[in-house]
Amino acid sequence: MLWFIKFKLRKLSKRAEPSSEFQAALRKELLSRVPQRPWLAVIMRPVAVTASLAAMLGAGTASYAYASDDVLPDHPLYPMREQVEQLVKTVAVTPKAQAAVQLAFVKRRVREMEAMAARQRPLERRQLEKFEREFGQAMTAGGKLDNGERAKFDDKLSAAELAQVKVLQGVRERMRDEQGKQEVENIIKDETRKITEKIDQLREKRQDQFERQLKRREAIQQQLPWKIENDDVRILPVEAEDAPIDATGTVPTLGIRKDERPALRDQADSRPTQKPVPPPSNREPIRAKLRTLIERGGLRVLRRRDGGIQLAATTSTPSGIRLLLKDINQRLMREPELLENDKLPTTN
Amino acid sequence: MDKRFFAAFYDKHFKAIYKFVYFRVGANKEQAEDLTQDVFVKAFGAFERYDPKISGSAWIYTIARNHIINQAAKNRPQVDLEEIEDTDWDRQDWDGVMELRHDEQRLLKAIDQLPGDEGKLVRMKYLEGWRYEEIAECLNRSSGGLRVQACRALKKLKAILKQK
Repeated sequence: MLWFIKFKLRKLSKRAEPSSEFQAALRKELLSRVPQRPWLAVIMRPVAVTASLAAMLGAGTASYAYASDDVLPDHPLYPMREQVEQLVKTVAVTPKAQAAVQLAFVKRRVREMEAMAARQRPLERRQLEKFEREFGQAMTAGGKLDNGERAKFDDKLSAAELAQVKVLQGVRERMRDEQGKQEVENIIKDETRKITEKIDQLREKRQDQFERQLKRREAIQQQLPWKIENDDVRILPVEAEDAPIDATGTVPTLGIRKDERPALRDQADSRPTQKPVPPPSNREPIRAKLRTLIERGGLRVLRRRDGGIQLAATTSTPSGIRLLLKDINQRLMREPELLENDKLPTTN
Repeated sequence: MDKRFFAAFYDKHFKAIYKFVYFRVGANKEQAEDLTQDVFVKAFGAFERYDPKISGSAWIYTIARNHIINQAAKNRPQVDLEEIEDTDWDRQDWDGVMELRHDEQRLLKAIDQLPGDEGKLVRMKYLEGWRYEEIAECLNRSSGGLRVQACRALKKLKAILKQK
């Protein structure tokens, strides 16, 4: 007889159907606020690009210039190859397509260098700079992929970079004069340094991004309130009512006036810069959540010299919970009564 | 996300959000329209900051839920905000809602008697029209688990209605 209950529920749901006039009116109102691009440009741009690409490739010469491995940087048709490559980049719209195109071009540059080296033609500085530029663009494009795809992409990009280094080392070995060898050696070192710097910057950025995701996930699992503030996930924030909604739609954060925003603090500064918030009448839910967190995370409750309370991780604390601690301790500094009266063993 | 994609987002989520709001304002159509408008205006304002990797359903659901909570807090300033946050369903006196028939009022009161999570699931799935996958994203659970729980909840609902 469950079908009958479902039938009654669906019938009741139909009572709550919005009026089509209201739906249409609200839609019209909201869309009237969307900044308009000239409709012609919106429609025609990708069409124009695809059309000119098709025309060029259809013409034969451009197709040859783009596809043939004989068209190298010192070939007269090389500029045409570069133009076609620019058009191909423009047509790639999705992050996946962009990353694939950039990776393909990095591999192309390596093949060009291999071919130049094999034909004993001199490698120019311009080629190496072009490789470095396209490698940087490929890393940026790869940064927009999902975690699983990004890992595979990074592997392929690293393989291309390794191939390029081997080409340069091959060129160096074939050189007869010492000065030429030293120059190529310097180029290799310079390239490696620049690419390593780019990788380190990107790694740091990706690590920050990943940590933010982990922090948010942990907050949800521990059922602690959270919000996005200044591009970071803040745990146990002091909310402002009716502030505009943030990107994740959780506790409101943006639109707070500058004079209402809490001051940014130095990470090493443990002194509170804000007055303690007077506790509302019932903090029991947050207290209960903190007690559960302490238990799950194997956290130590420390008593500071100034009498305040702080939570510290132990070797058994999961990494997700460690990420939450800084924000929680900041909140405990303002509201020590959240744990003050609890009968928890403390360490001085 | 670019605001030019907002139309498709609006079309996809409008009905579910309207119904979500409707059943939280005592089946009052005017109030439901006002609050739904507020929710979508807020969503529109924040749309450029919306990351499409986050589920759209979960995002707009959270905006709607927070807005309802804020409105409830305004109407009941003496009550602690945390108490309201834990009360997902603004319990109505369904007997007083003239737009609903007697059997509909009975059904809504019976849903109120279901335990928290089950009541929420029945409302979202059968009254508001969310799909299991969307509910799973909003509540951070698996859709398979939700299906099993929904079946259990309907059986309890049937038992409650039989008792009355």
